[in-house]
Amino acid sequence: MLVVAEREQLPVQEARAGEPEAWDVLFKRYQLPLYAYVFELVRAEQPSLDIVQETFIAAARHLAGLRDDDRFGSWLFGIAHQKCVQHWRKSGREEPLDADFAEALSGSGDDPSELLIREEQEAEFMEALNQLPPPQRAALLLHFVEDFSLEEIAGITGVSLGTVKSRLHYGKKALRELLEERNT
Amino acid sequence: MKTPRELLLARHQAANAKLDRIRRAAIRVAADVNRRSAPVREFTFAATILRVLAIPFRELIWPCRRTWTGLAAVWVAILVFNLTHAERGQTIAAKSTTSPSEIRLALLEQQRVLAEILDPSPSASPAEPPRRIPLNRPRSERRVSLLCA
Repeated sequence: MLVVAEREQLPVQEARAGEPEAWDVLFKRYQLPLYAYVFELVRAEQPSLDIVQETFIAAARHLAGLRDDDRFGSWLFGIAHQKCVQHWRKSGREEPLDADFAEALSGSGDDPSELLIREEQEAEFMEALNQLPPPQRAALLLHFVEDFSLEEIAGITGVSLGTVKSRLHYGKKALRELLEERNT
Repeated sequence: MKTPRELLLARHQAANAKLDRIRRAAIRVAADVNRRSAPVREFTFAATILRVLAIPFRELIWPCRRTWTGLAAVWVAILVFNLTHAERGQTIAAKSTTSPSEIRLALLEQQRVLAEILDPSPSASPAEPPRRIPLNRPRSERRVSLLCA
C-alpha cells in the first residue's frame, strides 16, 4: 500500500514566517526519503548526509523564493539533485545524470505501489536498481520514493518531460528484465 | 511484500539518528536566517533611501561644495546671532514685567478716564448755542466777523 500523501497539507507558510516547529515538521517529513534518494545516487554515507544537510540549509535560506507551496517536496528534491550533480563535478567524475537518453515513445504511468517486492527479492531489487544508469535510477527513485508526477520529476532533474517518460519507461523495463534474469 | 518506497526507506532507517541531528542543526540555521532577514530588509530599505538621496548630493552639492560651505557658515552665523539676540530680548522683557495688581490698577484708571471723556458729568457747562450772525450788516463785514469767530 502506498503511504505517501503527496498533497498533504504541509506548514510551508508557517516555516516561511520563521516558526521552528513548522521547519521541524517539514524536515522530519522529508529527511528519510531525501536521504534514500541521495544515497542511492551517491552510494556513500557521509557525502549523502552532507548533501541532505546542505539541502536543508539551502531550503531554509531560500524558501522565500518558492512560489507554489504545494511544490515544496519537489523543490527540496530539486535542490538535493543539484547538490548530487555538484558532488560528481567536485569529485571529478562524469556527470551521469546529464547523460542524454533517446526519447521513448511514451512512458508507462504505472503506479509505484503496483510493483510489490517479496522479501527474498529485496536484495535483488536493490542490486538491479543500482545496475541501472544513474539518470534512469534517479527518475525511478523519484517515482518510487515520493510518487512525483512526470512534470515534477522533469523539474527536479532539469530535463524535458519526454526525457523523463523515456527514462521511466526504459528504467522499469530494464529493472523487470534484470529481475527476471535473476529469477530464471 | 513491500512497495519500492517501503523497501528503500526501510534500508536507510538506520540513518535516522544522524538525520535527526542534521534536522536540528538545520532548524537552528532556519531560525537564524529568519532572525537576520528582518534587519536585512530594513537595511535594504534604508540603503535605497540613502542611494536616492545621494543622487542630488552628488549632482548638486558636491561640485559646488565651497559655495555651499560658505553659505552654511553664513546661515550658522545668522542663527547664532538670532539666538543670542532673542535671549537678550527675553531678558529685557523679563526685567520690565509688572505685577498683575499694577496692571489692573492702570486698567481701571484708563477705564475711568475713558468714562469721563465719553460721559461728561452734569456739572460741566452746557454747550454754547451757535452764534448767530446779524443780518443787518453789509455782506463784506459778515465774512470778516465769521473769520474772526
